Amino acid sequence: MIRLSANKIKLDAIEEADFPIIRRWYQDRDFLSHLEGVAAYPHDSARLKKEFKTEYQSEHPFAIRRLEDERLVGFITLSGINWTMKSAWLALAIGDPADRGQGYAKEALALMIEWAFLELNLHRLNLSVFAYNEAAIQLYEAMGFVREGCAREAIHRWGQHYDQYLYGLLSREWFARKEQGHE
Amino acid sequence: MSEKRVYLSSTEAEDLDYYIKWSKDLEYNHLLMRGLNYPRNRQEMMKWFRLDGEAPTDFFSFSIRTREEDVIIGSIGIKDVKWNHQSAGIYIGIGEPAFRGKGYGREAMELAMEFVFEDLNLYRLQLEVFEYNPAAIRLYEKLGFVKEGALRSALYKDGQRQQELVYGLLLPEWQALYRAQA
Repeated sequence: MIRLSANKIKLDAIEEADFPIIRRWYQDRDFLSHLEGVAAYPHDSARLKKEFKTEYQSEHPFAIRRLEDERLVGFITLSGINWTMKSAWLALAIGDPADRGQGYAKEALALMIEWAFLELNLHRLNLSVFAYNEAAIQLYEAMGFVREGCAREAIHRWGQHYDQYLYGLLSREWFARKEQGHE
Repeated sequence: MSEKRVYLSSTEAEDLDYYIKWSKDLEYNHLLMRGLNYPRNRQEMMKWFRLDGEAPTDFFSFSIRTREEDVIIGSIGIKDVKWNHQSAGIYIGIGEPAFRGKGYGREAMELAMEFVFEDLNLYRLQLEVFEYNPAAIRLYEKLGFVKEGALRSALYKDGQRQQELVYGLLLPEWQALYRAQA
């Protein structure tokens, strides 16, 4: 049986009232440059709502909320679900720097992975991460994601070129690791 | 598998001319349709075949055409795809009377079953058939479908209550029947 809550956080629906907070995150250059492979240009409210509610509606955006006070700390999404191949792309963000490093992302990732493998019955999850996002890379590798590819110098920012890594996780790998006591 | 006399093509808006003609064949619809038996117009057909909007993700319609003359003889489709459960339904009709009872339906079913189990990668295929359609029942059983249930008095036609039978075929059963030979 799937779960949507862990020790510190839960995965929840994104509500209208969440958008002022999400908008604030999307004004931050550092946040934007770690999340998207485009120029770090602040998103206006209308565009954000469109992305989250229309574009992503079939793509399962979840709010990440703290259990203790229901506060929104981030979001996690599955996009580009390919049903016949049984794969999808995963993306994750924790909005405020102060909320990072608290284990929220790790819990959210574990819940989402199991939801994807047990509820959607997917076979494979993909994600991409920029080479300078060390905290994310550490987390994904700790969760069992395997670095499968490198798009060399795909990201051009701050006067430099950076690699973009592609990671993958298979359902059978996740459950084998779980049996061995990880997560 | 032996060479087929038919192939499955996309369903084009022009194909609806045939489907509309068949919808006026009362005996044909009596055997196949759960809904009311009445002549359909083009707008209804566009809607039913989901040609009037975005391409659906849970419905795949094909026209059955002969290889030799390239004429449309029937319609077949995969419906109610439930991706997370890896299941779907199938329907078929050979609308052209001259092509019934000659194995064309069987060939089209075999092609559609390959599409379901090897392209869509689904695990379960279900169909419903009316108890007063013995030719169809024989075909489905010959194809390997397993009778799973009878919906008693699901149909009330011509003053008689009739059963609707439910048949299913699972991926490993299909593989054993169609992919087992060494």
